[in-house]
Amino acid sequence: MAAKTRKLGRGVSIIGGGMSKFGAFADKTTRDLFGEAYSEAVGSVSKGLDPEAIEALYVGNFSADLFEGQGHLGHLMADWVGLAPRPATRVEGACASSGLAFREGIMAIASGMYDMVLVGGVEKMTSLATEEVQDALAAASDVPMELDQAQFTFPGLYAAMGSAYLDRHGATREHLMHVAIKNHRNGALNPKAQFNVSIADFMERRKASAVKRGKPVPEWEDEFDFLNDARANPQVAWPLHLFDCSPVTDGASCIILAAEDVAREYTDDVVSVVASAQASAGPIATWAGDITSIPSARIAAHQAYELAGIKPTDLDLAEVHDCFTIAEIIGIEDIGLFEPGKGAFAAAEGQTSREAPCTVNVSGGLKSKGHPVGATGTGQVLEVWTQLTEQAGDRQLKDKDLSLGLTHNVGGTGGTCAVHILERR
Amino acid sequence: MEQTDFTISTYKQNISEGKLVASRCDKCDALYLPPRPVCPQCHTSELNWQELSGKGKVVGFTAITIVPTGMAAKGYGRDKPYWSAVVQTEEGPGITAMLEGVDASDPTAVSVGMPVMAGFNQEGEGEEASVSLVFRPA
Repeated sequence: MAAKTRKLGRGVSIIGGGMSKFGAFADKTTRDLFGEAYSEAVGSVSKGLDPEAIEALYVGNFSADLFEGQGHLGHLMADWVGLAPRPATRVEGACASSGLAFREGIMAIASGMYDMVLVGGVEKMTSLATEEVQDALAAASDVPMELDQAQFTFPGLYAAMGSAYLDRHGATREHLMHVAIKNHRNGALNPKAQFNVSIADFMERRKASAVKRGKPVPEWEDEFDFLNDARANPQVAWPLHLFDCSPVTDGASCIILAAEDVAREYTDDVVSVVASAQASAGPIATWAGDITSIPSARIAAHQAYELAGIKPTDLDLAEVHDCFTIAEIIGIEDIGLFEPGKGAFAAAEGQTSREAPCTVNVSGGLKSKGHPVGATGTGQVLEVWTQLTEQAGDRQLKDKDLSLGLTHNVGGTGGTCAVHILERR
Repeated sequence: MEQTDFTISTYKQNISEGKLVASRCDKCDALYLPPRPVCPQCHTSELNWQELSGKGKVVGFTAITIVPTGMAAKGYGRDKPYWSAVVQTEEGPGITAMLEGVDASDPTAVSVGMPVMAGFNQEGEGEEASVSLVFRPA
């Protein structure tokens, strides 16, 4: 099907954003996390914001129902931050929930319905044990076919994509390791990241802990040696091991969107949405035998470039949905940064690093920053906005003129994908 | 085959009788698994059933060691992984199912392109009985 691409009815800009710390917080519920992100977002508006100006909310959440037994989140979040009786809508698209909430907010402003909306996402995941989290996430797969019939876990589905990718392109587990090493190195500079430590730091901690407990001290030559040690980095679903997987995370993120024609009342540093695209796909079994690329991501990215009138080579940074290391490799190909089959090798050559023309996951990505699934999409947008407005502190990209950034937010194994392109005006 | 609704429960009923069935569009011949009520190619509802041969090849696979709670209850886990796979059937449609008859502790024991054949495992007795689809090396 030839998808129609239509430009926004009027310009939409980001005037502020915020996030909770990502991590495991036994004493915080969904609403506490959302409240933290909201307060930081309102406080981030450079010329100040009276929250009375916010007209509606779009809240991304995958499954507070399964994680906390709490459904019907929209109104609760609105009430918690003092924005009831404004319309509040929960948006669900698995791990792309807040990428979709962001898009709903954009369309609401572009339509002329509102001048300012709050969009965000939240997920409280650590209330369940790891096995139960895996069961809850499996609800985002095709339950009768992928789960009941095949007993695929979520890591398992991405692992199957990985097996196909490695086979077709002659890549190895070492290529995947480069993604984890790079993203942890980036996340080490991000104080909000769940694991803001490099893998080298992890190794030193393990050694120190062994010394402290009087155990034999492991001798790893380098990060690859550590990641190849099955005791340090056990298999989850071959070829994926623990350090190929994003963590289980509690967190929230919020973005304040305004019509471009009023945005300068709130900030002189306007970042606008130059493309909003979304596509769907069936379960991986329906992808005509090619599971080395995610069709919805390719389609959404293609539409986004067409809408923005730019090429992948024009991008300065991209936040790519690295729920697993293989997902980043497939993602950087699907958004056109690299040809099919070249992503793994490009990652190993440092072509996605902080120094690269297009830096991938400067935030640390889902891998290191954390993946509170419903909060991830607007978390990605927040990072691009923070970098474009030069507020990223120690992790600020400095040696290039930043103007264009992309977010690639995947729900499930690609059933849903939202791609957005942001430009500093 | 008897003309019944194109539903997941009809699909499962066929599995329980040892048959892997797809829906086939009368207009464009597109085959779909699991069977569905509308042809995704030409959007018609003029469909028929087609039983598949069960022959296929592995498109992607994994040996799962961190298992869902349901599989843990059956004794699977770190010391006893199992295979899940994406298989492309000889007739075209893809399907996800478990893979049996290969050592899951050796990830090199399965490869992309490996020929496989559908099998049907019966578990339990009487009213508790259920049949599940698996693939085995052909």
